[in-house]
Amino acid sequence: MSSTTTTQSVSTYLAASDKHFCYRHRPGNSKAVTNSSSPLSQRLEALSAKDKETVSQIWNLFATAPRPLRPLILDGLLDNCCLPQLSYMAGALGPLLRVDFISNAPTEIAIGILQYLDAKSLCHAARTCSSWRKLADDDIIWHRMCEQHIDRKCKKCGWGLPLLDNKRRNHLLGKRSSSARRAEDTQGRIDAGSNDLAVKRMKVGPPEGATAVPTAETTPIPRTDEVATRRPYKRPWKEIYAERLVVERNWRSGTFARTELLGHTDSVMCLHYDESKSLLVTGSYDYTIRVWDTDTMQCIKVLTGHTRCVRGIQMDDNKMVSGSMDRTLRIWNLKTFQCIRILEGHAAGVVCLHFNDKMLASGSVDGTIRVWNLGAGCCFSLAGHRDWVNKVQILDKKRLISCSDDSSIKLWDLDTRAELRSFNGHVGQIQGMQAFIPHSAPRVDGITLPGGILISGSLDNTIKIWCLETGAEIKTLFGHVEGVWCAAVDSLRIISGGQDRKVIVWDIERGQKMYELTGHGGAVNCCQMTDTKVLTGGEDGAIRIWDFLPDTSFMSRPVA
Amino acid sequence: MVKLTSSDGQEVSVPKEIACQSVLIKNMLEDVGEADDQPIPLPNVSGPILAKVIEYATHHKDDPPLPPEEEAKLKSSEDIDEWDREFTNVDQGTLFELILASNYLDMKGLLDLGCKTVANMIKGKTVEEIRKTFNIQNDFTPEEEEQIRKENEWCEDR
Amino acid sequence: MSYGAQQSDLATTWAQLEAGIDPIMNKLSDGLSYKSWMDLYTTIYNYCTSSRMCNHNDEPINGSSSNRGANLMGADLYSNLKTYLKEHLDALKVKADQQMDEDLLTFYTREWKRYTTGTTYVHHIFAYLNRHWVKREIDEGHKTIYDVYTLTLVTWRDHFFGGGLGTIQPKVMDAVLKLIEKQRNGETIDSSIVNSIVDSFVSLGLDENDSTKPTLDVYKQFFETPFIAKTEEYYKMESERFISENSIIDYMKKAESRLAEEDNRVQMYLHSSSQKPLILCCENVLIRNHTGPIQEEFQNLLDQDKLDDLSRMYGLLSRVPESLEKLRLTFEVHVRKQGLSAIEKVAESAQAAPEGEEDEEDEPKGKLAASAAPKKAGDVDSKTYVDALLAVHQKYSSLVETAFRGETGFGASLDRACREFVNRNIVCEKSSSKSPELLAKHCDSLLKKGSKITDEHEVEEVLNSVMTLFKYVEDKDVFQKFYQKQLARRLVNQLSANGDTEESMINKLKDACGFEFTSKLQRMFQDVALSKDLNDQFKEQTARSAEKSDLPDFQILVGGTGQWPLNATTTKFNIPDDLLKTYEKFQSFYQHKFSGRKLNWLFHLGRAEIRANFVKQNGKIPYTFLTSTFQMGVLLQFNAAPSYTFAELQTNTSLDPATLKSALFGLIKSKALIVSNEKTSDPETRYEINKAFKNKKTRVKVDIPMRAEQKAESDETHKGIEDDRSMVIQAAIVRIMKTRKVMQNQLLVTETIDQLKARFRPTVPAIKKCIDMLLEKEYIERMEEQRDMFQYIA
Repeated sequence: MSSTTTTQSVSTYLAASDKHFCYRHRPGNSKAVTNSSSPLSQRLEALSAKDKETVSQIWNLFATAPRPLRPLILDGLLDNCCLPQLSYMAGALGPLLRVDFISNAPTEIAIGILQYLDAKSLCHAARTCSSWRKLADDDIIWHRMCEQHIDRKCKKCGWGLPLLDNKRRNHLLGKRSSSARRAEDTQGRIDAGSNDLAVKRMKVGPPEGATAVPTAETTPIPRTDEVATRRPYKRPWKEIYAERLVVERNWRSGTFARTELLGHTDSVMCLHYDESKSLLVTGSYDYTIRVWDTDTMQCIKVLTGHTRCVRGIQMDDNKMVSGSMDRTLRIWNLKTFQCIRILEGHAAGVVCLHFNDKMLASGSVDGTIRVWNLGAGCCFSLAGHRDWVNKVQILDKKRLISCSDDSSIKLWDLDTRAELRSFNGHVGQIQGMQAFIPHSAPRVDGITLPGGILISGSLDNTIKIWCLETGAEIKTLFGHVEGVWCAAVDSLRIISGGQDRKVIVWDIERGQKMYELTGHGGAVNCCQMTDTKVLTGGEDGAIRIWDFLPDTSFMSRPVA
Repeated sequence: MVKLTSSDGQEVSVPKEIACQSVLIKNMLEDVGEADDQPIPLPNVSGPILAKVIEYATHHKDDPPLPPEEEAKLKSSEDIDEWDREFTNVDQGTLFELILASNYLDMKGLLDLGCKTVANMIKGKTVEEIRKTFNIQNDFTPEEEEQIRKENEWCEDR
Repeated sequence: MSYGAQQSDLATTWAQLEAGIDPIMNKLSDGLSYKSWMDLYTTIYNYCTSSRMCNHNDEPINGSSSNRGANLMGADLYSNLKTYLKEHLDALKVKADQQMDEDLLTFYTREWKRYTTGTTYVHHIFAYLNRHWVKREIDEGHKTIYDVYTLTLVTWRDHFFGGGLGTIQPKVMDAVLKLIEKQRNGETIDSSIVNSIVDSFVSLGLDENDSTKPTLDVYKQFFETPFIAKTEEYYKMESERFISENSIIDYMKKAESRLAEEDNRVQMYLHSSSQKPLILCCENVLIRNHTGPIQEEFQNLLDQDKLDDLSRMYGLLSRVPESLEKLRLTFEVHVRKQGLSAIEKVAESAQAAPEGEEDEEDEPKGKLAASAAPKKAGDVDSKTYVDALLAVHQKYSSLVETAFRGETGFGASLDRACREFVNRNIVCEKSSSKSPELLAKHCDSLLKKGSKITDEHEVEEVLNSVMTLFKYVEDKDVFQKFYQKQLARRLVNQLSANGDTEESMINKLKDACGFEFTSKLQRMFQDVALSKDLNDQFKEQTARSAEKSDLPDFQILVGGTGQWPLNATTTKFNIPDDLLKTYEKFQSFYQHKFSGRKLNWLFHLGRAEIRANFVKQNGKIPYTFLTSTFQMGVLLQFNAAPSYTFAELQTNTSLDPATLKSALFGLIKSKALIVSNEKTSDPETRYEINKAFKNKKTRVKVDIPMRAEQKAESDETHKGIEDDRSMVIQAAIVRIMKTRKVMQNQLLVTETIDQLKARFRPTVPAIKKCIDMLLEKEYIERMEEQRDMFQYIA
């Protein structure tokens, strides 16, 4: 009998006689056994024929012995061992007792184990060996990771990752026709939990594995031919997670790429950025409005028409509205860049504006806020502030919030046109303000704010965080030394720009300053924040874009 | 009391409520009914492991029912209590068998405990350490290994 | 011990499984051992876990899924199971085709039970598959993968049962409907069969999105809809046949019992969600289609006062709410007729027997109805009147309560009808304020001494019923005026039977009409209380001043002029010397207390008690005459001389002749004075004191001629009311114009009526008159451009 056959017969013998799965001797688990078998058989070969026979016999006897007897045999053997053999045993046992759980357990269990890991450990696990990699890169696990972290604070590790909605959607969809886009949207998978995440997947094509079982009640969903012929492509969840983690890390560490846009000849007073279209519009003291393409970082149009400085600006898909100190508001067509309408009515200059699909609100030097009905063209006034109204924002179609030089912020009801609440606390003129109502209630300093969060920055150097629902002042942030001109907030951070030429990034949850962004040559007048960028416009006529998304896009694996 | 027989023929008598922590046994008793003298065969569970499982079930017999799936997933793997930690402080082979047995017997608590324990063994380790802990053979070619490292580079803190 | 579990070979594994599942599905009664159960489970477990370990390559096993790290085993077993179930059901179908009707039903239920029990076992055995592979599939969104039990149901539903060709659903449904029809026809059936059929239908309904949630879709579509259609048909036929052959009353009974039966049926074996549509359909067919004849029957029932049938009719028709409207109208008309005819009867009887004058002042002799005015033919007795009204109201109110279960619509009809016959019946034809007047009179008779009812509780009850009628009276201010007058009279003459009852009546009025209404009445009471205090204080004061021996006992009632509807004394009066001192003393006492107030002495209302020392009863006890103040003045003259002429008396007392005459009349009647001749007011007639006065009683009440005034008073009161109303209307108009500034004529009229309807119903001519008055007084003016618009002049 050759040695190999001996060992082979050992394993086959085991396979035949041993009915129960033994981990080490399973047919599939060749590694555990084969590893030891080659040096083992070599060592056997090296013996004399008689010794070989003895050893093989003992091995065979043990191998054929029934289960219950084995412990007894082993005990006997151990009894016969001397100390050196015992210590040899101790040494040899260690490595042998290790079990490769992930490779050997049923898949469901392996996944169950991996689900408890954090992102870093998962990646390490993926690097160990191929079977581990297959499991550690499993979509379901990463899907869960994404659900836990993206757009919300994970309870376990405290990290929240940005949604990164707009840019991705446009980038991958390109310039497709709207019908195709609609078809894709409806066929996007509906994940239990976050509908936003479904969009991320950008799945094109029918869901796999779904065969339409005709029942009496249902009819198959009609599909356009165009869509059906496309090959299925799905971005793996791991990639999505990775991208956002990097962005978030950049945010936390202050790693960014900075670009400067020059062109205005006087200070930039207001800006608005639409990430999905990569369009930025800015208004300035030089009476002009400039439209920039942020992909090419070029100014594509200069709009003139106002006779005084442009203080407020906003755009949506088809139009742009600008408000100016010349007491008018102008509505521009974004395709042709023509001014299609001029709204007059304010008694003094327009300082700020905000619109949604139905209404346009503008705040003015004379302390009033005018709310224009965009369809009907009529408007009404809200009076109450005693000084310049610096910022207005329409909240959820029924309320409006405004801040003013009279150091107060007022919340108005648009149906009754009455003032609902006044937020008093600042001792200086309030220049910047934003209200933000996310899906999950934000937490500041451990206090949950159910109705949403409101922040305001004022010339008294402070930024205050308020609870929208109760009107209570939650926190005051100190950091600027010469007055705050603008402020913006999203679910994770607050940014503010001040007279001291600094832009400060704050963490909402702990209410602390994270770091400063410097570079402006003059006071920072206006700012806006997206998931990956900060855009600021300053006294020096320049607009700066701070980009936290790294250039390298993520493609982990080629598509099947 | 029900009688359980392990794969190697050992018979154990267990009170019914404790045995019914295993959903498998519970379902079967519901279906086939109770026959006091018939033992329940468990062909995939060996004697010593069965003993451990019964030990777990006895200790946890008064536990409140587990929360629904979704919430449970958010719990971390850190919250293992003292007794459970001691219980799973065994060699990997036994732990593996325990996990398989709890999967077979459909005992969610024990299965979760096993998985958490193994997860804790993976957490925080470097790649080499993981390989060593579990005796994993690195079957990548060097080029593959480099590519995979690059792919997963993003997770490293800088 | 176990089946060679190491094979991952699908064919062998499946063969073993099938061999094990077959007995479970088909011969479960043979029993199942732990071992076989466990073995099956273990086979599946081993299959799912073992083969994975053999495949360590990167090829995806399920071809279509790319990019997934892990693949779970199980799809093959799943599809094999599906095929197996289909085959099993095919065999069943063949057997089912051979059955009909009730046998089919029994067969179906038996097989259903067997199937579900068997598949529950299978579900448990395949638990491992469910837990992992199926779950994963569902998580990924593959809607057509279900856990095993649901799969079995779906297969049953699609393959065996439902909807398509060759399935048994239509036949089953047919059989069920036939069975139910039999039951409706009176035969007994085995309802457990239908029960289990319903259960199976319900279990077969599954939500498309979430296969663990049951819905009632299958049940609704396949069972409920045809069931209700059949029910409709059946009842339609039955009801039409029945109505043509029987009376409405019987039909109603039948309908009621059928509805109850259907309710019961739902309890017995239908799903509770069917109750609403089923009952709705039955109501439609049984009731709605026949509302016409039923409504016509209503009048007959009312006429015959058939309470039960009315109840039943209401019960049936209330299920079809619109049909009640007609009933309500009929009811209202009927009640009104009844009320009006009742009053007519009262009027007729009053016409027929004019009753003689009643002597109110006599001690109560147990005579009927102490009503004040002398009856002229045609005057209605207030008690009969009120009682008649109450009787009608009571009768129909209880009808509404019992037969119509207090339904508000009927209550409203009752109210409307009552309002009609309370305010506009034959007695009130002449003037709409007769009702409140009679009502007030009735109250008066109840509240004063001498009323028949002495028990406090009884009085309360009667007053309560009076209040019910009061609610319906439209001219409440008339009531108020009369009541006020009568109350004043009672208080002045101390005729109240019970102070508490008076108070409670006022409270009731306050509850009904508000504070305004009763404020004056309250103050009158307060004045009485105050006067008592005043009297006490005055007594004290005079006691202290030690002149009391001279002064007669003296009691006074001081009332505020505004509150008390009493007229001032029309004639002069010389206060007799004996009383002068008291008069002056009290005057100064009061001025001292309340400087700035002027006292108007109403002598014509005063009473006096005079002891006649000139004559004694039986020689021992002197008579005491109870007279009016004027009569006292007259009598006291006789202290000085035994006889006087009329002219002398006139001079002495300074009374005007008419008053003197009436005063003397009373004295003559009671024989206190003897008159020389018939012409009582002739100045030369001599009056002598009757020394031979005899009377049974020691205290002699001298007749006080107030009666004749009363009829005039009544008319006066009415006129007063007219004036008051005019003021109120004007005030209301001014108020309205003040707020509105401009208003159109018609609107103004409507608004005025609206505002005043709580007190009384102003007529349009009255309002127009008031508007004209206001125009004159320049409170309002007509606008230039629009002549029918008015403008308020500030």
